Amino acid sequence: MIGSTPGGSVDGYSRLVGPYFAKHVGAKVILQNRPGGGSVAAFNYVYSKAKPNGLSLAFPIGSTQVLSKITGRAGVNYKVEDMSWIGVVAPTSNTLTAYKKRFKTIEDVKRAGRVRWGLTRPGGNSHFIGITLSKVLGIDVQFVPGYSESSSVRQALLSGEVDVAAYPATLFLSGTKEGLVMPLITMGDNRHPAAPDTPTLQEVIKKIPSPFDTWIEIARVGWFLVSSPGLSEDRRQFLSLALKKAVHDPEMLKKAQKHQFLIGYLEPGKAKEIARKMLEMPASEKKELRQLLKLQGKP
Amino acid sequence: MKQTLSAAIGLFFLAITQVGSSQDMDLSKARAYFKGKTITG
Repeated sequence: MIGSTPGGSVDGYSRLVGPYFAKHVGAKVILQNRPGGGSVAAFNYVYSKAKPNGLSLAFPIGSTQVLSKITGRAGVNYKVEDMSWIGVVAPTSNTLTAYKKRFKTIEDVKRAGRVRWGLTRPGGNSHFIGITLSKVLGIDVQFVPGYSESSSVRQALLSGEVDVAAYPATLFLSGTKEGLVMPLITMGDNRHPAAPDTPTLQEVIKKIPSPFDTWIEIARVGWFLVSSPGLSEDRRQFLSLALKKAVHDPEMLKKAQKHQFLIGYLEPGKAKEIARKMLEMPASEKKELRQLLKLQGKP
Repeated sequence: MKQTLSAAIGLFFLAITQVGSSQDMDLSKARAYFKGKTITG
């Protein structure tokens, strides 16, 4: 289950990797979009309705599922830590991007005073990334939430309606060709191949202060591929291995390169550990985060 | 440019990929189970 509508970045990655996952499992894979509540609908289904046989998988944005638990989001009836974890695809290359007519460097943004930061859903992944990056970088922001999808935020950025936004690089960097947007910082481990002059966050901030170091870690995790709780260990490991092979499949990598999809694989144990750290944060920190994510309004 | 892209993507993989211990368990039964099945994902 893809927890979003067709056309978004999760959907794009699913359709890129899905056929190669099918190849390495030796099964057919039907991709089904089940949008709703920031992937909560898809996650709920796999957690409580699907049989634990490995034939129903969810592919949601990892940080969103963890945040939904922390903020006590209505409708959440799963335990992230109880899912059968297959792996994580594409640790995100979210890139803080600015409207080029206003800003060319991160220092320009910091000097500008309050900047308008475009968002989709308040309380969601892009909002969390916005909060975390603005705190770490010391940017004064006014979040402008309510855009229907990330491509609408991109449009708002290109028209100058908002000043900055942070979304997967693949989606945003196409605007750099027209000279309208400026990628300022990428959150990946390495510089994005399509923006080789743009520094990574680690290059700009050597030591990220606590608790934002943990927040950044979960924000950088990509899309969890999970199955229902109780999947037998041999099936879980087999699917995990197939996912790893799919993500390293030379043919798939060629396609990823062609479409500038930065893609990788993270072991389920590592991803689960990152999620656990976030879920076990002190109550005071959770309270602060809940307050920060309580944003309402429309552009 | 192509070489730069390949190198960058390669580096990315080196940075994030960890070798697991999936091969330790006998996965032949799981392989047989999934063969030809339909996964909804």
